[in-house]
Amino acid sequence: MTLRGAPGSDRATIARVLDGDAAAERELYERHVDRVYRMAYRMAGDAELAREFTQDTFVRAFDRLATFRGEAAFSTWLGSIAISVTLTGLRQRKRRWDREIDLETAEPVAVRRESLEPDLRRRLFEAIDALPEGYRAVLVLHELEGYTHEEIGALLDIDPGTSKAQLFRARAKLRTALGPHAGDWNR
Amino acid sequence: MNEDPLDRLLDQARDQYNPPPPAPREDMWAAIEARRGGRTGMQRWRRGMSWRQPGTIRKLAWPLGIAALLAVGFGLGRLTQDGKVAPGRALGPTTPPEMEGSTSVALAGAALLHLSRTETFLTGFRLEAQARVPDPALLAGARDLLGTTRLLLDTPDLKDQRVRQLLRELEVVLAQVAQLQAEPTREDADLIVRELDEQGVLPRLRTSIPAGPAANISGES
Repeated sequence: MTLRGAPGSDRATIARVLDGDAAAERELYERHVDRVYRMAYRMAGDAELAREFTQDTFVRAFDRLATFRGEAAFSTWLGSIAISVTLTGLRQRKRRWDREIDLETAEPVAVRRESLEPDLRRRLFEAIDALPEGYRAVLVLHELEGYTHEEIGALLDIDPGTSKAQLFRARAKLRTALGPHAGDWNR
Repeated sequence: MNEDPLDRLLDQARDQYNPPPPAPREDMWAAIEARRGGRTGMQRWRRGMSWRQPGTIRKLAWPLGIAALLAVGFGLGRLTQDGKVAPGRALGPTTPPEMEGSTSVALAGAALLHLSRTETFLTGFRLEAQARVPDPALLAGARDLLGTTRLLLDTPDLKDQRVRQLLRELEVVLAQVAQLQAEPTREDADLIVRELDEQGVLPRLRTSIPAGPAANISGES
C-alpha cells in the first residue's frame, strides 16, 4: 500500500521516511513527541520512565513504520504503541512509584486556582494509583487528558462502550476509596 | 444542576496528578538515533529489502559512502607514496581544521567521518547508560566502530598524531562497550561513562570534528 497525503501531512512525511529520508523521521518525532511523552508521564509519574517509554515508542514505531497502513490517523497508531509500551513497561517492572514520597517532596505545580487539600489529594492519588491497570488508563486518558471514548477505544484496542464501562467502574472505585472521607470532598 | 463532587475533585487533579514536565526532546532524540543506528541496517536486511526497492540505495548511501571513502583513502595513501602536494591545499572553498602530517584528503575525510560517527554513538551510549542498562542492540554498534578504528590505526598514512592518539583511546572505550554487549550491566556501563567523562573523550572528539559538511576536509591529495 502506498501512503499518499498532502505535503507536510503525516502520511506524506511517512512516505518520505519509508523512502529513506532521515530528516522526515525527525519531523514526525517533533510533531508527536510532546503528546507521547505527556501520556507516558501521566501514566508513569516518573521522568526517567516517561523518557524511556517515549524512546521505546518511537524506536518501535520507526521500526514498524512500513506496517502502518493508514487506516487510522498516525497519531492514533503511535498513541496505541505508546500506551502499550507504557503499560507493558510498568507491568514488567512490577514497580509502583512511591506516591507518598513524591507527594511530600513534590514542588507545587504552577499556580493553581483551587488546590486540593493535601490529605485529600494524597488519598485521591493513592486511589487512582490503586485502580486496576485498564481502569486507570481509561480514567487518566479521559478525565485528565481529555480523550474521547472513541479515541481511547482506538488507543487501547477496545470498544468505546468498554471504555465507558471501565470509566464508570473506575469512578465507582474512587468513590468507595474516598467514601470514609466523604465529608471532606462532598462539600 | 448539581455538580458531581467527584468531577470537581478530578478537575482539580488534572493539574496535580503526575503533571508532565516539558519533554526532553533533544536528549530523547539522541538516544533514539543511537539505538536505531545500531540495528536499523540489520533489521532492514532481515526484512529482505531489495536493491531494486525505491529508496534502498539512498538508505545505504551513508554506510556505503564511508566504506568507499575508507577504501579510496587507503588506496590513495598507498598510491601516492611520497607524492605530497603543497601544504595547505584544501578541497572546497573553506578552510576547516587540517590534519597534521601528510594524511591524504580521502583518508582524512574517512577518519573525520569515523570520528563523527563514533561521537554520535558514544553520546547515545552515555545517555542510555545514565538512564538504564544499555540495550544490546545499541551496544552492537560498538563492534563495527571498533573494526574501523583498528583499520584506521593500522593505516601508516594516517599520520596526524593527535587523531591517532584519539583513535587509540577510542579503541579502548569501544572495546569495553563491545564487551558489555555479552552481559550488559548498569554498573559496568557506569564505569565506562565515568572513564569517558574523566578523560574528556567526548569534548576532545567534538573539537576534532570540524563543523559543517565533511566534504570540507583539507589534507593532502
